[in-house]
Amino acid sequence: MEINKSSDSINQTKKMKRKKFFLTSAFAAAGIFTFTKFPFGILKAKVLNEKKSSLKITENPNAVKRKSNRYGNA
Amino acid sequence: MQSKENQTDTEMHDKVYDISDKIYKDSNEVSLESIVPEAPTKDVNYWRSFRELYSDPDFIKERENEFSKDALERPDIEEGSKFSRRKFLALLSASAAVAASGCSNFRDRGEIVPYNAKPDSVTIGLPNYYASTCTGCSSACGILIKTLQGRPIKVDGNPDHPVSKGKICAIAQASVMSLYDPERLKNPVERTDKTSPKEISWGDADDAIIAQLKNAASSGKEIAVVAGKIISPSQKKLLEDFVKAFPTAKVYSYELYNDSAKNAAWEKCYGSKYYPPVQLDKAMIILSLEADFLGSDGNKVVNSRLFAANRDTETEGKFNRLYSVEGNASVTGLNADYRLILKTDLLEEFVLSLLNELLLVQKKSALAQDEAVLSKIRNFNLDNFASKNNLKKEVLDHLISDFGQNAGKSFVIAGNMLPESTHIAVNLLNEVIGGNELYSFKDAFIEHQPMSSKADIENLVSDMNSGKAGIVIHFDTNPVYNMPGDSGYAEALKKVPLVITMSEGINETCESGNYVLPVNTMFESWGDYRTRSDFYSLQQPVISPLYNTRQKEEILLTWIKGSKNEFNNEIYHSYIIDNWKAGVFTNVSGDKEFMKQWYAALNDGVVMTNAGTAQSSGEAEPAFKADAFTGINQRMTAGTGMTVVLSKSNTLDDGRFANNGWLQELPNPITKIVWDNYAAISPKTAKSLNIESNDLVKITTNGGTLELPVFVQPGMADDMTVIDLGYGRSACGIVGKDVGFNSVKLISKNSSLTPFLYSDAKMEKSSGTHKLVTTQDHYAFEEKLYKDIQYRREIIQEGTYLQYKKNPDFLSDRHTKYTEEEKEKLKVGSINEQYVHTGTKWGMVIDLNKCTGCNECIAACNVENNIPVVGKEQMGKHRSMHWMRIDRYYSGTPEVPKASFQPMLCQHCDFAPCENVCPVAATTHTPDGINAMAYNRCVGTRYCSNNCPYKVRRFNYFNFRDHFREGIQQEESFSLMQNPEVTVRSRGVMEKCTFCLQRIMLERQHAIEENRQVKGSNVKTACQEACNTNAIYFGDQNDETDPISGLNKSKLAYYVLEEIKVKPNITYLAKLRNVYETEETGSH
Repeated sequence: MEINKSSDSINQTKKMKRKKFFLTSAFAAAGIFTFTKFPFGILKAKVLNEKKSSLKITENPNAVKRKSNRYGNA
Repeated sequence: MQSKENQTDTEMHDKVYDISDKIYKDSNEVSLESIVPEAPTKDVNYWRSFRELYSDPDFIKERENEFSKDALERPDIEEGSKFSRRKFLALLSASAAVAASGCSNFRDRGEIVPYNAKPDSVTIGLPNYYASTCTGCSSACGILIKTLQGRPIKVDGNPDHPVSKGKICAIAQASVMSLYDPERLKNPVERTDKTSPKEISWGDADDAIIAQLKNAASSGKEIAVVAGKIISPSQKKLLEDFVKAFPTAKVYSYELYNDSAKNAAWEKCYGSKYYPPVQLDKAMIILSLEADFLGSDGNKVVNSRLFAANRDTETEGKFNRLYSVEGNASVTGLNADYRLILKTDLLEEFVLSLLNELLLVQKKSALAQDEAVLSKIRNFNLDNFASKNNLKKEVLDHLISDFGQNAGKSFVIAGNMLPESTHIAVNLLNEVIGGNELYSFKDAFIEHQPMSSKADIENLVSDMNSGKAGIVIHFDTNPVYNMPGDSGYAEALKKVPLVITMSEGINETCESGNYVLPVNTMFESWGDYRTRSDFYSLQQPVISPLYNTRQKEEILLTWIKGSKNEFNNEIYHSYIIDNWKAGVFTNVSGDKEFMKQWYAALNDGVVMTNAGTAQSSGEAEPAFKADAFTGINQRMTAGTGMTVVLSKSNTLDDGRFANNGWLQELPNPITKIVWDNYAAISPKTAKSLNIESNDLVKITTNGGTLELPVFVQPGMADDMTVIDLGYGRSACGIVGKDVGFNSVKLISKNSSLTPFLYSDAKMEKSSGTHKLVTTQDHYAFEEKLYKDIQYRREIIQEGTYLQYKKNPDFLSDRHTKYTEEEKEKLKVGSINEQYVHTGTKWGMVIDLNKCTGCNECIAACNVENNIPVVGKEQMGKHRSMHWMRIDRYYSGTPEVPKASFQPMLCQHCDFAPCENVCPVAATTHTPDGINAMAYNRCVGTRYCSNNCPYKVRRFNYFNFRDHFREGIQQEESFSLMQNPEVTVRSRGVMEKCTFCLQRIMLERQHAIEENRQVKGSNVKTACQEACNTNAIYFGDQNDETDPISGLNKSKLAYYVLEEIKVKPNITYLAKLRNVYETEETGSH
């Protein structure tokens, strides 16, 4: 019995109080809500800007290509 | 040699001896000597390095172990992360949760989109080719740039270009890496106080600079433009226009390595500035005096082609003889038929002694009557000179005799590092032997603007110091790095109010600039070039600038026009067109007709002036002025101290390609050292100084002092050293920074001979070592029974030209003849049935008579096959990834060695030993005879590499792209460089030469489209395409019309390690040395 008592008391101290539980839950919900609604677009816009500035490959329109790499194209 | 499939075992035994059966059956009882033929008395062995020659215990151990200990080193787990598994998993789940939340609104717009409106010029999967001009150096060779979906991925020579004729050097091959270098400068940078950089817009830079240029011009301050060698007529005109717009501007032309002494000598001798090209293909006797014309001296692409054109074993009278007299061990020297070793500063005395012999003793040429000339050579004597300097008299006798018998077909070439007086003496020598008949005056070299003299540069530095120079513009040059230290340029630059540096990447000069302006590479630029009088060469941009860069000419043109608003992307393009309307296509009427001609010129990449479309110089053949020779007051004489020769690097030029990993990792053709420069010295010099390879020495010239490691090089003259320039860059990208040692520090502006030759230098032992990495000892292995493996197994087979002409079967006659009984006894069957290739069977022939060991093929292979750069540390662990290597074997003694070069790559054996041992069948044979690799099957057991007798398989010990220099090869820009037709391999995968399978597939595709058979000669492998001397042939062995079918049957044809019966498909043509019968050595 002593042992059980002592165990109960330990569990009791570890238990979260109802009030604290609700408080924590509310904060967590608010946190998740904020996180999901956070305007990541700001960051995304930055990323897109970076992408825009990343390498773009275009052939020069004024260059003249050859038919093949063999001799006699001249 | 007939096809191996049709060869019976008996026939094979007639040609080769087979010892494997005896050894494996009875290895304890049979001694090698009892089986193999007697070794000839001379050159009993081939050796690759001193470690091998002197049986270094470490080297022997390495050979016994087959693979380097370092190569097999396992990663140290203790050195890994201390992160616990639990913590890792916890963080992984947390980050996954966060990522999942963060991406909840993710809409992938995608990067891969189809061509809804396909550009006319692009067909998916098919390459485009553009003719252009390489501006890696001032040779301006014609190139063809291959692009795929707009990305330049390969550079080869333009076959229609009269100089390069479809060939190009390693620097041009590797230039695509410089285009995609993620460390290129990307935006203009302002450094107000020359220290804190700030990115600015082009408009802001133009505004600020134009204002200051106008101020400087109005206030009489000098505007110095420091350019390289000017080889473009439009660029020349642009600089003139710049001077007109800003009258206080002065243009300086400076290059670290140049041929000023040679040109000055030519001008004195012939009164013309244009040193003409030489028709080396018509020369039967060539004497090279410290001239590495097949290596780093001059345009090796042209020189190698012309030299090898006259190295034909099958055509009578088409096999030249090359003599070399040098102190260095150069590519040219080690390819010579006769090589005499002489300290560089004794060469002038040697030339004068030769002149004495020819004019005074043998009375050759009309100049023998010129008393003024004779008086200058009377005190020299060839016999005395030869005995004093230990030169073989019989070789000199042959030389004199050859000159006599080949008048008008002999030529003497002197190295660019030699002083003017030596070049004048050599010009006279060419007059005496008729070498002048080989000058080609009709296509003389063009000099648009003389190189700045020493006095010009001194004046500039003085103006900078005194404040007369208000602005200095570096026109894509790096003088802070490559001007002599005692010129005071770097210090003076600090006093200039405005310094503008145009550059592709960060360099030493950028660090002293107020404005650093990023410029386009040659792939993004317009240009016209004229290096010779008979043609113009065009450069066109094949890709729009990757970054916010501009062509350097565009920048200058905007400033000339006086407003930032004048800039547009076509500003220099239009400028060139206007110049061509006025100066080149002058006989064309109307814009429409002009544009037709212009587009045709861009298609060709070259315009011949003798086609009647352009100007011709029309210069008359100049006559030799003997006064130039008789008027020489100061001659080069041998110094008493150490002679130092500063040589142009084979790969880095003047250091401008230091950030190109492919070029850093390309082995030196002779020493095979990568990622370093060093002081090469002879074994005797090393002994006298009590030093060995890797020891640090201190070298002092009147230019300065440098501490660097030594490399003991066989065949060097005593008491001299040769050091490559272009290393030791202190401001460079992550790849090239602090690689090697800056030997420019040894250059003095007041050098008594030339900036590249010092005869009274000092060398003393310093403390410490610096490990040099040479690839030549890699893959050495030896079974204990096979002593002298290179000789016994006849990896190198060679003879003399005379021997071959007397008895074309001399190679096979050398081999042991067995009795029928012995043949039966020695017969070894194969465990596999011979597969009969009825269709195409691919094969390669390599002519060792033409191969100079230059390494261009390796560079081309690297680019074509997406070979990663692994870095010095990994190269030191024998983990090179090059699919090809050029083995360089020495024979003879360390003091007087001979060299043999042999390209070694996968031999695509019919009975490939690698295939039998692969547990997952990742390497198998194709029906057309290729030993193929399926990378995604490979599990990395490395059994195949273990079983490969040629050691040509390469293992990805790491994902080297990620492993090297902070993963720089993983950068986005580098991924654009990859050839999409070749899989990019990753860690744990074995790879090797595929015979450029992707090119074979392309031919197969064309054959299907055209409803015809595959034609072997239509396929050119990357190495073959790059080979300057056309030493490599590739094609269908089953096609009788294919050139390689004929070559396979040559009496000089042999297979490496034929006796192990793996039936390789690469045939080598044995090397012939063109020496007199009495000199027959090394043949066996």
